[in-house]
Amino acid sequence: MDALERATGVARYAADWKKKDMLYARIITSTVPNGRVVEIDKSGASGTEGVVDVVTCFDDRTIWHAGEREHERRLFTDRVRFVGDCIGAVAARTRMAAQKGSEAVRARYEEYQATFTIESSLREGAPKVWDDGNVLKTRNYGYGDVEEAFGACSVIVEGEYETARVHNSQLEPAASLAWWEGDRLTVVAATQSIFGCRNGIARDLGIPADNVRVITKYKGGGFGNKADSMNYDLIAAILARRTGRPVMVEYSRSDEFTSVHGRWSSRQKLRLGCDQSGNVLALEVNAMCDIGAYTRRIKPFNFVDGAQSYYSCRAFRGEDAGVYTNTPATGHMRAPSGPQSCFASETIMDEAAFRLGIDPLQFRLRNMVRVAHNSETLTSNGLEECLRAGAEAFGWKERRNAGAVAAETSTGAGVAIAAWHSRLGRGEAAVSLTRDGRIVVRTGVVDIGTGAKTTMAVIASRNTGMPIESVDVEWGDTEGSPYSVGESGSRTTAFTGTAVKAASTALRGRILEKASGISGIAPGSLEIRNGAVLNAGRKLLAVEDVAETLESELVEKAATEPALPKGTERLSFAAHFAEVEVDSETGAVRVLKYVAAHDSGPIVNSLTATSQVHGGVIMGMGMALTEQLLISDYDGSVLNGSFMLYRLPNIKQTPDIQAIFINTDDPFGPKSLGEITLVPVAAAIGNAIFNATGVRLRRTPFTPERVAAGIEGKRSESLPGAR
Amino acid sequence: MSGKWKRQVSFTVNGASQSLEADVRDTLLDTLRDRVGLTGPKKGCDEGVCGACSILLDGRAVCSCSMLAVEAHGSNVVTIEGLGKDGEDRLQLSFIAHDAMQCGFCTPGQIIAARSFLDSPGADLTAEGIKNALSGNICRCGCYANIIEAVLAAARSGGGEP
Repeated sequence: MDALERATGVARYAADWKKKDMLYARIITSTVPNGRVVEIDKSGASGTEGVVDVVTCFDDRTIWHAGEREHERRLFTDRVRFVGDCIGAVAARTRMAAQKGSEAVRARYEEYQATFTIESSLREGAPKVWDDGNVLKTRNYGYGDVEEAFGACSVIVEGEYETARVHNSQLEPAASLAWWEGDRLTVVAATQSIFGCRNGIARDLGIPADNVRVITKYKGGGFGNKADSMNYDLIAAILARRTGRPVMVEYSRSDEFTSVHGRWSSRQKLRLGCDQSGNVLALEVNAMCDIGAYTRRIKPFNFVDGAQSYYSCRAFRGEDAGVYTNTPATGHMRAPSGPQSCFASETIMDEAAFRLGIDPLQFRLRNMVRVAHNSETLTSNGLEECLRAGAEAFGWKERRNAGAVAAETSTGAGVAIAAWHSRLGRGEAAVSLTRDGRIVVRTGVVDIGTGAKTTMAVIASRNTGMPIESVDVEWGDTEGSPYSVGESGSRTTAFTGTAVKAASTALRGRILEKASGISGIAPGSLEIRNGAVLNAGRKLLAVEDVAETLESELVEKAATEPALPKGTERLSFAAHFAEVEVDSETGAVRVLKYVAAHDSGPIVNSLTATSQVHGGVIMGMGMALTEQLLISDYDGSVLNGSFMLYRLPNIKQTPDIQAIFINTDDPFGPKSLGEITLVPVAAAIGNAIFNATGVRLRRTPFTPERVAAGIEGKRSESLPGAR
Repeated sequence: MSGKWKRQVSFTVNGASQSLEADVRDTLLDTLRDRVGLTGPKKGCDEGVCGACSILLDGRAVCSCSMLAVEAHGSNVVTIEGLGKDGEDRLQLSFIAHDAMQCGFCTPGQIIAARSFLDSPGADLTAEGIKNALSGNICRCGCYANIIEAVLAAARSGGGEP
């Protein structure tokens, strides 16, 4: 509903704001991967024309609580842990002066040995990223007796899988504008959660949350890297307080790659056991993830998560750990730990199906989850329908390669399934009828591109009986908005949407009471349709007429927090089908056709839901084929921190994508969607490459050289006389 | 900062004449955003790869981050704000109708690139032609399928004339 603003360029993103006397800030970052700042010489910066203020780790000791999960992280740190760690910032009258000033600051370090890989971090006597060790153990998880279950298996498949570090790379670089009026702080942030951002800033600066106002009207994507207060929000606020002027912090694209987290890489060992007829009995996952110098992952989740909910096996055991390295921080990215988990488990499932000679689709139909974790009832489960409807639309039988590997190019088809959390939680909304007959929805939702605003308007329209054109949504400002969970965890529709529905339904009741007062007909005999109050299908009056009689706006507020009954689990499901074409010489992979079938409960807005699926598939193609944040083995710095070198999916790679929705009737309404769309993509594409070429890829991304090397290996195997 | 870095630059922006004293080191993108007050063109990468800063320079889409303001002297510049000034632009409406945007940050650049493509003589008005023409515009939200549909629909309805 704000598409016109976006399409005409009037939508204002954080960096589009201006304030009188505004200063520009640049961060000063560490040039060593592990060490301590001994001394900082600011004179070069202070002497730069236009520089107004220089702040360093020796001037300001603010703790950035959301910056690291297990340890205290200083906003400006003297104990640096990666090349790019923030040690200070410069504020200047122009962008150019801020840049020059930041470059003129000289820091002297005491350098320590550093570690850049999982192996070197685990080695005995390894350099320490943190004093208490380099390993962050998470809880083990699972169900059933795995060893007993493996004992009953006649086929056991084992494999090692790796997913590369990738980066959120939302197109809008970080920006934050802050100013103070007395003790009141206003921050124009590019955040996914205005309340999370506000509360985080208040906590870090030690001021009451009521003194902080956060505004985010438009946000140019986030995919998980803007959920709390971010360091640039705090830097803007601190410099604004020191200088008494508004301060804008803008990150460059290379700052984004180095200073804003991406997705951690994973290395996983899997063991999967089946009986002779192809029933999976046991699955074990052992994962190690390179989480960089800081992890912004929130407790208590694991670093690899999801596969425990995909299958009906007798037992599952998951064990994982994060390993700190002197490399950039990692954190949330769209389904933070899901694609890593799915890639490994759905690849080994494919390997098992091949070993058993069972069609991969049939293998999944046989083994897909029916009772969650072998004990919990699912509130709804459309996975079987996803598999069947998806296969039908895709043309599974026709597109499967029967074994003909052509000389130049070959095609093949693959399938992968996924499940993802669909939690319930707190939502608040106020819905009102104004005196001029319009519906106003007030929520704390931020629209980062998921269509949340439109979705809230659709829910209000349906439940009040007013046409969508009469609905306005006020959003994106902590002043005057009720609480909303942030745009993360695919939760907006489920959490806040539930509150909007409750408030809208209550408001319709109030409008009907008023209409009853005017018409003399009992409210129970009235209904509202398309803005008109009807009795037995005949229009009595318009809601506008009711509104005219109001003395003030008619407001209904709702706070909802539904809870799952004990012993139940609520999940969204997906089955993805990919057809690829592989060039046997170059190893280049092209995705030709893609069908994504989803069970996300009843779909509120199929237009924006379809767009979410398209977006997840494209992002998943990036993870599968081209994206990889390269880390220097010399100093742990980012080697490809630009769009020139970090290859995001391009419009030319767009396959024919079809989204299918299985509208299961979940008792709690819509389920999550935004994140799961990306989860199965890499596995589906990898499995399709195997079907096309016989080459099994266990590491993402499937770059041309890896695919070509695999094909070369196959050829030499099949040469006459080869060993 | 002395006068040696300053030059008087005159150009037409969205139909109106502009004359300003520009720093010779400033990009056209920064000048449009900071001095002219047009924030429709976005700074996504500042190195000419993502296309979010696209503008029409004498009718052709270019990355305004990759040229200096002084290089635009005497040119005719159109930004996203300048499209559809006299009534709504069919291309913009087509993007809206096809949900060809999510976060919207790349959208001004996508629309400018599509405008330039549709206006070019002999444009290959097929999905393949659109993919080639828009390959310099990154959409991280992954709206590509709908962008192709939106441009195709605009092309069918008369070359997307405004």
